[in-house]
Amino acid sequence: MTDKSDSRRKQEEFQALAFCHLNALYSTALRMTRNPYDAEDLVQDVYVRAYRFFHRFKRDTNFKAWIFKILTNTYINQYRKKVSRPHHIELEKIEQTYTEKRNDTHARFIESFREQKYESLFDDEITRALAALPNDFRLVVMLADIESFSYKEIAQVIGCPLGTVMSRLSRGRKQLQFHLRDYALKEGFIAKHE
Amino acid sequence: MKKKNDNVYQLITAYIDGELSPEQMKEVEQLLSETPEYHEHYLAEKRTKRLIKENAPVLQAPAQLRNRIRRQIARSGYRPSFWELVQGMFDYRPAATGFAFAVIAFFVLLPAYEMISRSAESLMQKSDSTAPGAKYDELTGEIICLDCDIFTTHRNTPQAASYAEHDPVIHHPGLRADDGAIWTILQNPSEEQGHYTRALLQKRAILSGTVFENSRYIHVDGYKVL
Repeated sequence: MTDKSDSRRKQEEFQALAFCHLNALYSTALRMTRNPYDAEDLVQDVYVRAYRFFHRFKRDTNFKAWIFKILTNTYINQYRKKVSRPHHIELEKIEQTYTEKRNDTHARFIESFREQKYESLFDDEITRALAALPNDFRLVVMLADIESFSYKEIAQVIGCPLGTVMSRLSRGRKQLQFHLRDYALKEGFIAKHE
Repeated sequence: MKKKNDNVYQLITAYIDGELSPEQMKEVEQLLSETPEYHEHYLAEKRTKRLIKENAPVLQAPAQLRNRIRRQIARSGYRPSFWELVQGMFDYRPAATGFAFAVIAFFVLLPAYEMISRSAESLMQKSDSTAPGAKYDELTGEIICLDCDIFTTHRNTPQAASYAEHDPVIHHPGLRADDGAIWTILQNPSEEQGHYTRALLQKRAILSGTVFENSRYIHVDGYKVL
C-alpha cells in the first residue's frame, strides 16, 4: 500500500512546485473576479483540485501552465454557476419580496464594499485599462504580458488554437493602447507629438 | 483590405513576442521597413507590452490564504488513483497481495459471475417469447379436456359432434380458470406436459409458466395440485 512517507513526499513535492506560483495565481484570479474574497476562494479551489489530480500531472511538462489551466477551468465553471444563480432567486422572489429586498440591499452593500477593496488593492491605470477589456482578451493579455507564457502554453491554458491566441492578443493590446495613451504620456513612454 | 491589415497586425504581435519562424520574421521586417503605418503600429504595440510588463502590479497573496491552502491539503490527504493503490500494494507485499486477489477472485468474483449467468439464463427461460401480452404468471383453476368440454357444452351442434369421437388416450388438456376463462395448455412434443396434465384431469391446480394473454395459451413450467 502507498505508505505515509510516500504520501508526505508527494505533498512536499506538490507544495514546492505549486506555492511559488501563489502570487501569480492570486493576482490573475483577482483580475478575473475583481473581488478579493472570490479570488481567495478561487485560488483555494484551484490548489485543492490541482492536489487531487496531481498524479495526472506529467513531470516533464510545465507546471505553471498546468495549474493556470486549472485556474481558468475552475473560474469558468464557477462563473457559469454564478451567472445561472439569479434565475433561481427570481422564482423565490414571488414569495419573499420583502426579505429579498432587504437581502438585495445588504448584498449590494457588501458588493460595493468588496469592489472598493478591489479598487484599493489595484489602484493603478494598468489594472483599470485591463478591466475595460472583454474577458477573453484580458485573460490572453495577462497570460502573455504579465505571466510571460508562450503562445503554445496560452493555447493550452485557455483551450484555443494558436491563431485565436494571436488574434485576441493583437486586438487586446490595440484596445489597451487606446486606454493607456494618457498614462503612457504621463509616464514618458511616448512623447506629446506622437 | 481590413482582413489583410488584421493579419499583418497579428504577425507584428507575434514578431514582438518572438513567436515567428526566421522566414516570417524576415517578411515582417520587410513590411515594417516599407510601410510607415505598420512601423508605427509596431512601436506602439511594443510600448504597450513593455508598459504592462513593467507596471502591472503582482500582488502578494494574503498570508492566511497560504495557510488555509496548506491546512486544506493536509486535511484532504493525498488521494492516489485505484491503479496507484494496487501497484503500491504489489510493491509492498507482492505475495500477500497476489494471494488476496486470488481469494477475492475465487470467493467473490466467481460466485458473482455464476449468479449473474444463472439469473440471466432463468430470465431468458421465463420470458421465452417476445409475443405481445406474454408474461410469466400463475393461473388457478380446474384441469379439463378441451375436446370433452366442447362436446358437453355444445353437444347439440353439428360441429360439436366431431369432438365426440376423440380418443380418450389423447385428451387435449386445458384449464378452466376460476374466472371462467378457458386456457389451452401448449403441447410440446419434447416435453412431458401432455402426460402430467392428463393425469390431473378434473383436478384443481395452480399452473405456472409463460402466459400468452391475447391468445389464452399457457406454456406450463410447473404445477401444484390443490
